[in-house]
Amino acid sequence: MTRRLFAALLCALALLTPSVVMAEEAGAKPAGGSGKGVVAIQGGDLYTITDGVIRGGTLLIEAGKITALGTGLSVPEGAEVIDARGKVVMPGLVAARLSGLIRGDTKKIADALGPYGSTITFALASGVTAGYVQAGGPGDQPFGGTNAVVKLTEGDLEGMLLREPVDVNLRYSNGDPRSKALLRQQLRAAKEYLRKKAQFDQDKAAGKKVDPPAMPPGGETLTKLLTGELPARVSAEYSNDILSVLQLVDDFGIRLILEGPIEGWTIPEAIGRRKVDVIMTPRTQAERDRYISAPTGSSNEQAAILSRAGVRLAIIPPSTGFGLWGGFGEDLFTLPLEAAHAVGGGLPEDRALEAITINSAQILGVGDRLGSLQVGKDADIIVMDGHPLDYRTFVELTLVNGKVLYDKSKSRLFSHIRDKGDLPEAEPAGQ
Amino acid sequence: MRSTDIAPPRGTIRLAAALLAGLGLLPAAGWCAGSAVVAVRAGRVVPIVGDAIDNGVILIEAGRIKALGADVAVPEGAEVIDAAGQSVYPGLVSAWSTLGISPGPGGSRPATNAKHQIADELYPHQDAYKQAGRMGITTLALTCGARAPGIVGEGALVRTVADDSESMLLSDRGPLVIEFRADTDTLGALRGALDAAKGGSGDALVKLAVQGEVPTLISTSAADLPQLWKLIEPYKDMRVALIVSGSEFLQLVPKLGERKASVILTAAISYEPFTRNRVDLPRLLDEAGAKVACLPPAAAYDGDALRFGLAELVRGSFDAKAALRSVTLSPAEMLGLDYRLGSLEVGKDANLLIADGDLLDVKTRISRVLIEGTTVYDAAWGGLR
Amino acid sequence: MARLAPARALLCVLAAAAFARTGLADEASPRYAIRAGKVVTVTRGVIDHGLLLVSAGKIEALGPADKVAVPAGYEVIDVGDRWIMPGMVEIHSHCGVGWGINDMVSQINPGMRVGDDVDPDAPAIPAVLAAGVTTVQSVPGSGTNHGGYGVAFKTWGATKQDRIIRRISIMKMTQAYNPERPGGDIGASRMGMAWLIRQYLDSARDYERSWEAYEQGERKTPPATNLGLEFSRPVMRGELPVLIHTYESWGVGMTTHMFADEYGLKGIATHAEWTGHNVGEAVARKHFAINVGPGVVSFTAVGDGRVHSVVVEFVERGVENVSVNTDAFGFDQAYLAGQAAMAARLGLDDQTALKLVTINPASAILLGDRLGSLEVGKDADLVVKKSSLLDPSTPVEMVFVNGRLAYRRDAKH
Repeated sequence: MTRRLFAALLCALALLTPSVVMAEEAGAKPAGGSGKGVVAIQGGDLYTITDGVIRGGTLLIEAGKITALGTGLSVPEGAEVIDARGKVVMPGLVAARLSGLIRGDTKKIADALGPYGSTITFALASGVTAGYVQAGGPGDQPFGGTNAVVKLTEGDLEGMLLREPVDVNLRYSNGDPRSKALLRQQLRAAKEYLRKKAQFDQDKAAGKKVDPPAMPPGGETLTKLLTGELPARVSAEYSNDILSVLQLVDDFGIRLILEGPIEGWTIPEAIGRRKVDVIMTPRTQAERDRYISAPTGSSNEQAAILSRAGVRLAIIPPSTGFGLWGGFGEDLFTLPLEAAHAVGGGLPEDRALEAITINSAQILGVGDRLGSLQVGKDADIIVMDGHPLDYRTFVELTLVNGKVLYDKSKSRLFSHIRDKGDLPEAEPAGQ
Repeated sequence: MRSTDIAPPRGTIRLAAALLAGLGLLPAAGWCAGSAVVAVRAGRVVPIVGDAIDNGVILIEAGRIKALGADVAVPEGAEVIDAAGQSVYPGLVSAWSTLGISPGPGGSRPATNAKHQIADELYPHQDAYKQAGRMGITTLALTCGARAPGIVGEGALVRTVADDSESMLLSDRGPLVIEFRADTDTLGALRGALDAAKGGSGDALVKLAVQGEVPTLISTSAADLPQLWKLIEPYKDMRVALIVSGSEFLQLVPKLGERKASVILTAAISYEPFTRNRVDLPRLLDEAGAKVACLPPAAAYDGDALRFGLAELVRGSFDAKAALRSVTLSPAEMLGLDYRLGSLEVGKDANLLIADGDLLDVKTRISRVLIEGTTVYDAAWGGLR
Repeated sequence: MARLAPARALLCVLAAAAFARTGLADEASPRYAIRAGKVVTVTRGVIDHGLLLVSAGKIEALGPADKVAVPAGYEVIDVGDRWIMPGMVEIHSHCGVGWGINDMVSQINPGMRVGDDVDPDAPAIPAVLAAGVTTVQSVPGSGTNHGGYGVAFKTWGATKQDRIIRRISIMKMTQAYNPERPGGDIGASRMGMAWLIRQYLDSARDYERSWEAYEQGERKTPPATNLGLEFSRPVMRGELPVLIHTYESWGVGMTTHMFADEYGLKGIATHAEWTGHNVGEAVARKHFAINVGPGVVSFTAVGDGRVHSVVVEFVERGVENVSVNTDAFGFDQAYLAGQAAMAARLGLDDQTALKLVTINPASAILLGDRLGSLEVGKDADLVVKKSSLLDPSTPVEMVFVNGRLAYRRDAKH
């Protein structure tokens, strides 16, 4: 149905490939001031994410930032104009997890980033303009590794790193009581350290001669969790593990990002009440436990149920890289498709779009720069040839910091693919 | 007739070499260049620098080119090499090779093996070197394969044919060899070593490298180049040549050109990533403004692999002059040896490659190779010697 | 894409009214008149505002709502603007297999039926049904050259026995990769495996011929019964197909040559990925079927730097019967429609893409006369959904199997 709507739109407007022309050629009314260095995306449906859809709107970009958007905006003379009539314009997708960007192990992601490579090329072709990158990990330890949110500024190393670290990757599972216990011990020690440190600061300010408290093992990181400077990111699938992890919120007051829940739909209130952020894969399937009568296993309604419970959701596909040996449709090549699965499970469409843009940006702590079309935000923008959640929609242009880094018509990857159209009408003889 | 001496070396390495020689430290004495005067009568001299000279004479004395030109007289008593109808080129220079060298030390990651000297391993009586000499390669920059990222060690600049290890060496100090990888530990180790050297402490070789006294050969994945450039940005005097690999190479060509980077790569067609589209990286780099040094394809230091690889590139519109330069003067420049190697000019080493035709013609055979005036290969010998 | 909520509430009312009176399994052969915004026949286009009559578990009639009269005694179910489509068919699955899919001692295991392994209570089966897959063919694994025989069943039935379509539905063979035995047993080389397969097919053919001779009176005494070869007889007569696990152009080429040319069998080359499409024209000439999956993309194999779907490549080379699979043990079966959707994304028209999961797999296992499209006389296996089966953004709302309501989204939990 979506496709038909778009087909109608496209017919009305004639099929236009977005093209870059000068404002004068496009016949735009010149406004006051020079438009040199200005990029204008004109005539598209602007899915702002935070402020609804502006039909047939114009968006202006200068110095890599969104400077204006709305209808009836005049385009300054000399601006580079992208004709987006009949297209969807939305913020670049933010992947709450992105694999394959850095090779090997590194203690700091900043040291291992490179602005070239197939992951970046494929990501831009898929509309993904930023993502969460993890290096190393807790392994057998209660916590460890590093992570960052990275912008895919192809060709520009300096613009890549937005934040490092974003969160603390914890290992906390009932299946591993040893590291669970160790983490709790270390958190208690870090909490005690903070108490002593506060006392020390107070005493010192009062002029007392006191020794500073010793930092306990892991304290540098864990105190950041306790003070709320960083959230914890923990994977937990089943309800008993999720409930255990939630205990950390109650006991230590940490901010929590729950990744990969399967049975979250059975305990939505417990998750929602604690203001936990959830990163999940709506299509995940898991068997119910046939020996337990209570709800178990997966539900394709999990995203909808958690969203209704007030949970801030980010959606990621089953595979968070870009695979070309199978699995197409199950990885970041089609991130919006994963959001479509959530819609299939009852999540409202606008919530689903938030889950791949503004929510993931906010969960990664970069909601002030990414994830929506708003004045002042980074001009990381995609132009699509149809509804974002349609399985046949392709990204036609991807801009990062206002620069076109992917153009479907000029890239080899998907430029050979043509929309073959909707289902045919019935043959009269077939009745 | 050209009688002017070559220009003084741009780098300071020659000065350092002269000083060291004065102190008796330079092992160049190990090579016994013939003292007799040798005259090569050539159908065609291709000097790399300047135009080809038809029916020219190259006069050699004490291993150096004393004179060359169309009107050079052959002195009485000179040994004459008759290369009438043949073409004379400078001996070829390979800027990166592990020929005859054991795999590098493994162990710690990242490696900080500045004290690992290839010179300690040299053993000239290996067929591999003689085969390299027979294919016209007279100079090799030897290094070992890296088994861990970091500072691999000190390479060696050598003559391909020599009687003993000492006389293989062309210079006292070899290039600093680095295996680069963009990760925190490797960056930390390299930055630490470079900063220490810049500050006056640290390893002597790294100091020479930071001062530009010895070249630095860095092997890296193309994807890591931006991080590498960021790392070496403060060390302006370093003379870096890159050995680049990885599927991002093509994407980095414009940046390499912009930076006029020195790039060492094989003389072979490669493929655009994910396609079967042929890509001539040496040509693209050359056209983008990078300096290119070509190596034999698949590290085949034998037969005609290098010449045929170049010929295929030239057929793919790599400029023929650029192709010849990529195996002579360009690698010599990258290795800081252009004051004595890489072209046929008065005062330079008499490293000659004599062939019965255009070097890039597949039918051409190499008939004779000289290192510093001494014939090390003669087709008439019928085999290796 | 319209909001779900109001429309869905409406459906609840309609559906609740319908089922309050109908009841489920206990009433024999319910008769329904289903009105839908679209009736997607798959084989004969789409009927807007259509009506479909169901009785005795079959489709009795279908057409535009204003042209088909609703006979007395038919329960009217109005699904509003929703679409009605045939239930999907998956022919390379391991759904419901509880214990194992391969006995690995011998390369040739002709006496094995994976039906013996299928757990009718497997929790995966209701999930598969809820995804709109109404027919599944579960097959033995590919760990040996001949894993045994598959079973075809419906994902719902008034009784468990009712579900079975064919206890022995297909011969499962494996031509490449998985049965290779690098340790040096037989299977260390592909020629060794080919020899084993031919040996087996020869003996199966001889066995069938000697029974035929006996049955036609050409020989007096019946041949000695060979339990190991009994199941192969309908395959040798062309009444059941062969499913051959294979990859790449080498494997697909050799498979079609061996099974179609040498033995004249009806078959399906399954997986057929990577470079399999390079021999697509030959496959088309031999009228062999292709069953692609679980991956549907070929990228570097084509070597032009473009993302291609293997499915599209086979279709474009003229293979008449192309289908997709999930090769799943159960739950991932729910992605079957997704496989077809990706083929559509990468270049198929929607109708051809729908065939990949309906009529084509049904025909490939010689059940095309019963399953896979909305046509008079076919099993009333129906899916009701707000948009195409290929669209994951709308849920499957109702599934009928053999003319009975088997799944209703609002009845969950």
